[in-house]
Amino acid sequence: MTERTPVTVLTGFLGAGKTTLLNRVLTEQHGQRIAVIENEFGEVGIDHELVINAEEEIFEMNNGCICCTVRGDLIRILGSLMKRRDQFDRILIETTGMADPGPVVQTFFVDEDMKERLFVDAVVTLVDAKHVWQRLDDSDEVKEQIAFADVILLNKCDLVPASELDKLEARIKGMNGMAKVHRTVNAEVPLEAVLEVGGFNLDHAMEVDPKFLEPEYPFEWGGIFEIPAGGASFTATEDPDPSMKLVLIPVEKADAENLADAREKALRIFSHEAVETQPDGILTADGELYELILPGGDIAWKVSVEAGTYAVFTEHYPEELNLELIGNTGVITASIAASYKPDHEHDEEVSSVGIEQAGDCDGEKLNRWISKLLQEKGTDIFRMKGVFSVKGDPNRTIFQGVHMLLDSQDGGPWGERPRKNSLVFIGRDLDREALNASFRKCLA
Amino acid sequence: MNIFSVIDGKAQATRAVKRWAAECRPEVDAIVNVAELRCHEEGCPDFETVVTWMSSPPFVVKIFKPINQITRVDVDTACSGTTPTTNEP
Repeated sequence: MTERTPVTVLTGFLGAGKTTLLNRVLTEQHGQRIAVIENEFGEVGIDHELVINAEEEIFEMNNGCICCTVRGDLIRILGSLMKRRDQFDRILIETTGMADPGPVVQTFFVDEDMKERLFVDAVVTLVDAKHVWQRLDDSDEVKEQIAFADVILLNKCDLVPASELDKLEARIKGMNGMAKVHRTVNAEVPLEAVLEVGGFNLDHAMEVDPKFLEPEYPFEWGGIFEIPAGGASFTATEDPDPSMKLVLIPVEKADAENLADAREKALRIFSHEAVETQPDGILTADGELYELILPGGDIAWKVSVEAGTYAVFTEHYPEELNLELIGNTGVITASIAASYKPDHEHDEEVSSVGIEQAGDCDGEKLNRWISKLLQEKGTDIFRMKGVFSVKGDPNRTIFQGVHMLLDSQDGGPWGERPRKNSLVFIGRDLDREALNASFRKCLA
Repeated sequence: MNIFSVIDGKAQATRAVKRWAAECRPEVDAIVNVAELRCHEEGCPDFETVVTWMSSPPFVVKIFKPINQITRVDVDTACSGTTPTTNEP
């Protein structure tokens, strides 16, 4: 394969500073020859021989299907530009402030011949830190430009107090947890930060910020108890919900390591069908997920296990229903406990969802899951990327995608690394809990 | 259909389809775009290859096969309009 030409897509509302950045890129000494495709007649004149004006022409290859929507003007321009391939080293596309980045990016994914000669290095979005607030609420274009971005320049930072910038950056990161955010004045940023990004490079699909992959558990609490001979009983006196799920798992001893191991087992068990268990029912530690029915009043369930050490994971905090474990000699308290309620209280239409799950997926289940997901939610998923660990495959499967277009490759052997699945979705109206729950069903 | 499957030689197959398409309509001086769509929308076929001459307006034909299974005859037939080009098979 010949060396592919990198393409940078520059987005941002009118006045955010796209042309200022473009001028810097064109005038600084970086040793690269850049062909510019621009949609807007610049606010600042650009003196450069390879500047081509485009007219935003949305072209649907398949009526109404968003994944088949590309930019007809770009196809034409790129087709003729590539005949002059020896005249430039990279391409920069400046979109209009109102442009949807989706069709621009998809243009580079649908034609294999083009994919072999060009690649999108990054979508760089400029945000006017002073004026973007209102548009974040009412402009779909601004939301999509942020959602698609690999790099976001919070520009005009000199016009906004630091406290406001912190709020703005937090809000933007809630929408797109994948992008690198730089605070700038006059779009001044080291050019490598916008020109050598590798945002769509599958080799970088693994490099998801671990802080972003805060695990989502279907239980809020877990603890380890010593249950004496003769068993014990769970009692509850409050019923804030009609039912609550619970699982009991035998462990070797009460320490953080055993609690963490049991947590992963509990995660799998919580994806199973729950067994409805009325008050006075019997609970065992044989891998069953119990749904305790809470009809109200003082109720109890018998725990029928051998004497030993057990981890318990509950859908809600035990104190919400005054749940207690009672043995022969009174209340048994947890030797060690942990809370698993994540802080994902973002109230944004556009948001990011990260999933991290240790272990292997079942290849067929995974295939069915992602096909169904893209069919039902592809229109709302702007970007996705990650790595899967598929049972029986010694190598990683890495993927990235835009709307319903997926690109995947063999990511090489896992080797000594622990096998796990890491996924990131950025989209509109994403249901974090449902995505996590449905993905867990793919586990082998 | 395994959506993670990687089909080798697609770029080469794409170039062949582009060449045949250009030869089919030599009177049209336009960039040809060839896209194999694996659409996940309800009712769409698993595979369809969309060949577009980016003239004004664009001229589109569809071949309901993966790119690497398309033959010269498929392109000629699609261009001659003897098979439906805008409906599913």
